[in-house]
Amino acid sequence: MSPVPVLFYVGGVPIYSHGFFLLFGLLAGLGWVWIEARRRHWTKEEVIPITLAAFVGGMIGAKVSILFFNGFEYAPLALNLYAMFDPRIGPGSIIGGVVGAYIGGYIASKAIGKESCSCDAFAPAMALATAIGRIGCFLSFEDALGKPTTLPWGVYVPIEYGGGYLAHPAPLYDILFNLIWFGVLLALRDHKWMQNGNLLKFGVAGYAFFRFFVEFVRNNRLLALGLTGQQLASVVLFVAIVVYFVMNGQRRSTLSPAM
Amino acid sequence: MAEQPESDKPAEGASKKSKKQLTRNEKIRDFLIGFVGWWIISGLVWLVVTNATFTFPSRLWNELLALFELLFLLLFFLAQLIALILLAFRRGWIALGMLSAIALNLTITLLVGMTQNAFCFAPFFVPLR
Repeated sequence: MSPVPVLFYVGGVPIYSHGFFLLFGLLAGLGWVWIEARRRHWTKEEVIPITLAAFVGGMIGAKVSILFFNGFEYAPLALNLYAMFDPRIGPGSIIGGVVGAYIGGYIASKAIGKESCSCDAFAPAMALATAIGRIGCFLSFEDALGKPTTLPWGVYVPIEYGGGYLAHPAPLYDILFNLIWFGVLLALRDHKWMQNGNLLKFGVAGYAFFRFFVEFVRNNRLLALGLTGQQLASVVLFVAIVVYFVMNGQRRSTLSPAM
Repeated sequence: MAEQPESDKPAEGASKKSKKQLTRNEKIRDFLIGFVGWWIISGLVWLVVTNATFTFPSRLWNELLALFELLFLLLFFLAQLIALILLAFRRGWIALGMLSAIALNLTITLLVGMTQNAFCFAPFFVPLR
């Protein structure tokens, strides 16, 4: 398997796999939100501001979080509004994007007067978009794919891509997980316990759990305790969501009448 | 057919909360204030920042200037976010206009980004000034 950084040319202009699948993934995610919105009878007065806010929040979160994951030397890029519109700088981190999209969508929901969270429509869309976006990461051999491995499915990463060894195809693990997770979230979307924002929280917790482990075979910078910034963020997200579910479960059992 | 989840129903208090029902023309006016206003203000700040090329003979002063520029851009970024959130609750259509302007810029960035070998900040990023 060789890297495919350029997918095709349009009038001599190269279309790079990373950027192409990032955009394709976002469009697929947006399309899925649209399908879910119709199924959930959202009005366009709700869909448009919430989706726009989630998109902008996600893009901002993805870039700003780089400050935490990659270090303070990235401050001139991560904290500069104009750098967000520089196509030479990559999109940033998925985890930061998810958190930013959640915050943006939540604020927009409150601003238009929805008293409860309507963000569950985004849960399967998020998994689908990530699965598609990761195709670009794999084809472009981003971050030299992963750590060296002797496993039979290891992919040879050329030296010019930072490798020179057989590596874990970490983006493929991500794709596989997210496709399965997409199916799980679809199956759970009408469950009575998975409403009012719980499906999205469950979706994020699942991805955080997976991401914590897949980071061990990725080449990201270690931040503290022998863990990468993405792992630390995943732990915080996962624990926060578990605590929320436990407290919510306790409150529900307190409120429900004694049998 | 699945019942519509409780969370997806419009809030009953939503209409009571909004101070005033805007007419169609007022909504368009507010949207345009947000959309065009964002371009004008952001464009002006961008012009000032990119054209302000002071250089001092001292390295320390130049480093301080770079720090000041970073601080200024950070404050401008924060001010935009705060303005966006406050407007979302008070003048929703202006906020929607601002949000649309930012989203349009980001969409253009993503489209142009397909022609650039830009990864997640590394290794192909070109540092800005």
